Amino acid sequence: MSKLVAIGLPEAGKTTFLAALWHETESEEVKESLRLEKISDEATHLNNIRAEWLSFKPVTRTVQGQEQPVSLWFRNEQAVIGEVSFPDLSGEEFRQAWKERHWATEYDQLIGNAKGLLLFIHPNGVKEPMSIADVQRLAEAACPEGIEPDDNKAILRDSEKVVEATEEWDPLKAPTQVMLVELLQFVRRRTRIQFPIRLAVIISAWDIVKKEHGAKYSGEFGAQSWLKNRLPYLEQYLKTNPEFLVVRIYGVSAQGGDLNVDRAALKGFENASERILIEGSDCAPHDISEPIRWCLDLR
Amino acid sequence: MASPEPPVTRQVAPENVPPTSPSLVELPTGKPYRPVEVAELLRANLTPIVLLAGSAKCGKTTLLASLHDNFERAPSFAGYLSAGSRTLMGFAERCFDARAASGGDTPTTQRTIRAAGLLFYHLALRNEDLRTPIKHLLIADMSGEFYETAMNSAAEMRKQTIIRRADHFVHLIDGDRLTNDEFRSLTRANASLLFRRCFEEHMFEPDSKIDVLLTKWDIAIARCGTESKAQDVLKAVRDEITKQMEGKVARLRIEAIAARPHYRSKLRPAYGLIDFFRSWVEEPPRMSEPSVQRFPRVDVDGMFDRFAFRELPEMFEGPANV
Repeated sequence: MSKLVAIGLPEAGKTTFLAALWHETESEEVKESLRLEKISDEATHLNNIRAEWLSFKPVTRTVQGQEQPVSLWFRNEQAVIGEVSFPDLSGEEFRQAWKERHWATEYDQLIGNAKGLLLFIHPNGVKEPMSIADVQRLAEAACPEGIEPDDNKAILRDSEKVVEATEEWDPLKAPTQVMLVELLQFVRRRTRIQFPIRLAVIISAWDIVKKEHGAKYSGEFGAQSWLKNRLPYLEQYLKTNPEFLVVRIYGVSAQGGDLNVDRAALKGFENASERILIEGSDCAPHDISEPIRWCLDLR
Repeated sequence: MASPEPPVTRQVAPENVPPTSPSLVELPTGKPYRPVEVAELLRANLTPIVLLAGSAKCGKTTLLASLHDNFERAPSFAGYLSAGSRTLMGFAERCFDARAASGGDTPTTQRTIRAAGLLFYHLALRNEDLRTPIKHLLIADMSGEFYETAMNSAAEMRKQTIIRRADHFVHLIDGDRLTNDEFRSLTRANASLLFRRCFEEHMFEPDSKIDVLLTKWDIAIARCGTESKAQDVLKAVRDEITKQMEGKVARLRIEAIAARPHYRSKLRPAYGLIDFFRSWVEEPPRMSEPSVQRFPRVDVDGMFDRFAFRELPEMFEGPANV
């Protein structure tokens, strides 16, 4: 059995991806997609999240301690691929691992034996390393009245200021990219399989990025450019560790749009899989199984 | 993402760390290393050590935090990409107080308190062209109180063996205080005294590389009024330290820096640091052993003395004549 593991911080889109993947591979609505060879013995969780996805409801995210074992039997046009274990792990576990510096033995087993990894990042969940200086600059631009006109005086005034007590340090206040790099460093230390590992980075809710930036992040390398701009520290880590990770980056919108704003448009698709948006290397339109194919070394 | 070179396949074993409980697996703390913890890293890699020394609040920890911050905020820094860090939690904590998430209104950095002593921060780096292997760098942050104690006591100075071991001894002098009439003389005197103490206690070797960084250069310029006036201060310090150190160490560099300049300053973040950082990463660690104290040659003719002169001539002063 091939083992893949979806990792990432909470609300990064892991379960919604799984719901759309289950529907697409079972329904065979997308010609290029992987197909389901047979239905897993235990499919309650998969059917529940698929029902939510098909009903245009937010997919219920996985809660820590209530993770579901999931396995999918895939085939492609040529042959049976076999059973792929794809446990639906809670992002909270990974966030706590960053803070508490341990994780559950079950996670360790899953991650240590994973043949491939899918790392999920939600564009609206990114905590960036914004500095106080950035905020000061923005504040001055917004309210130029009353600012000290002389730069030297402003610098000296601030240098002599008594620094007031700030919020206490909490590891959970660290930037997202720092937590994700540490998560990958944990994986590196705990993995039991041969390097390099295939890693698919999924920028979820890709429709948000497309709406906000238009063509700026389009095409095969659009998601990679987005990652470089928004999470440069993570992008550097992925680029500099090819002995450990072989990486592809995808922009994926499993919902296809905002469930409140775009609901009517999403309902208009004849086949539900057509609402799926994916961009990246070798991606056929709507084929959400491409990152799985990449992780299973079928490319 | 294209790989720069064919990936190497190797078998790896999981880290052998006993779990805290049967259901939990312990993970590395990510905190800065203490001196006893760096040996493994030093043995495994040719890792240069950069020692940051200077009085309390002179900007050591700000420099350290800003190095990491540059990798977090831009696609690269000084021609290098970050390939990770074993002390990521430590860096995240150090960077926190200058971040909006801290809720503060003035960027600052938690100082290294004396109890923390000497802490080592690790950076893994790879050249932007991705053609060379990952390089490692250890940056040692010595608390200002240690520095002051070492100036006051020869015995305390001798305990700071890290000064001998460091590949780059970086002495930070507070540029703000140096341009402030109230503190100028004391700041210069302390800088001079530290170097004198280091020489008298043989803390530097002929192959030592010394960098003197005048920190907070943005404030220094603001205090002087113009950059050219601030440059005059830099020149005076440079002349004084050069006179004191010339010919005694392999290299002496004296420059002004502003690791995290004020947002109204014309200086860019990490002003003056790029060339230093590059050399710290690229220059191989010092391979020389610390010099050995030799015994004076005495005029004796005992069997054991003759044996010692013949077998261990390097232990005695003067030419071997046995």
